[in-house]
Amino acid sequence: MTTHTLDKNNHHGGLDAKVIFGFWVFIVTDCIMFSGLFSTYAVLSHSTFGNIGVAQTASLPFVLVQTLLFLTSVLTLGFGVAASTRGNFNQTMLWLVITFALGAIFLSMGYHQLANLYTHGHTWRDSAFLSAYFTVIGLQGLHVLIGLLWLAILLIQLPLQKLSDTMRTRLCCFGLFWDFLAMLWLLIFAIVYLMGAI
Amino acid sequence: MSDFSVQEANKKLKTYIAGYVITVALTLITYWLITSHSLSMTGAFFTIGAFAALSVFVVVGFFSRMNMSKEDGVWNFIAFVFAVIIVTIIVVGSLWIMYNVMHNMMAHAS
Repeated sequence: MTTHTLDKNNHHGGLDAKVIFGFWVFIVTDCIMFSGLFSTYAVLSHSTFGNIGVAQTASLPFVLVQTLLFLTSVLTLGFGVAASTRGNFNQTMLWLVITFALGAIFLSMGYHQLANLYTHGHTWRDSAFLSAYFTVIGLQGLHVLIGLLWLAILLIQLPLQKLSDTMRTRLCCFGLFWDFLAMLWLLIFAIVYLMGAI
Repeated sequence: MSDFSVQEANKKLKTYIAGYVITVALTLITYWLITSHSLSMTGAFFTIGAFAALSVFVVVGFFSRMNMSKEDGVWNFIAFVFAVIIVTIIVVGSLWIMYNVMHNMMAHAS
């Protein structure tokens, strides 16, 4: 009984609250870094120096599809987390694989779009706007890439360790990270693409 | 050791689905409002601002579902408030300064 009460202070449903708090603080610092990048983008967004503006970087329907894809991957990850809370291992794996697939499609769409700009002579060297654009979009993409690697590692670890408290804590941290990436993408969608379409 | 809970899982599912429906609806409505060009410049600006603020709120509230209310969640809340304050200072401060810098440069140029 005593251990149970002690446990309750640090553990919520078997999860390690301290680890999750630590990861939350990391996300806060990442958030602060991106606020600087978004401010830089907002300041430089009209400094196109004769090169293309944001309206020519990507078509809006393309970006909308990317947005809906990423939001759907957040939902499928949520299904995975809920399945792990229920203790259903197979469903957890299934939803995580679907999340991985959706994330990979999102990332390859973003990569092709940036690569297309690059091969058409619109690189980060060509204007202050393009530098800011490539930095913001590229860094979010890099975060997604790291997220996919992390998810791949989780998919290897899960069959070995099953739904232990440690694995569920890791899954919870990954969920926070992925939600943060969705938030970043929604802000990119608003500040970069929609603002550019006014 | 692990305490699995069907009740807890169902509660999570409900908020995830609600969060998904709200964010998708917000995205589609804002997209339609902007691409139909039916809004004035200021109207569009505020619509996008409201969309950005609301989506941050929905992601933190419905997807991340950080425990911020109970006694053990108070530090999560403090970290979140800290982030909001710093982000506001950086974004508002930068834009304010750069707007004034540009304004003064233009005054000299003309």
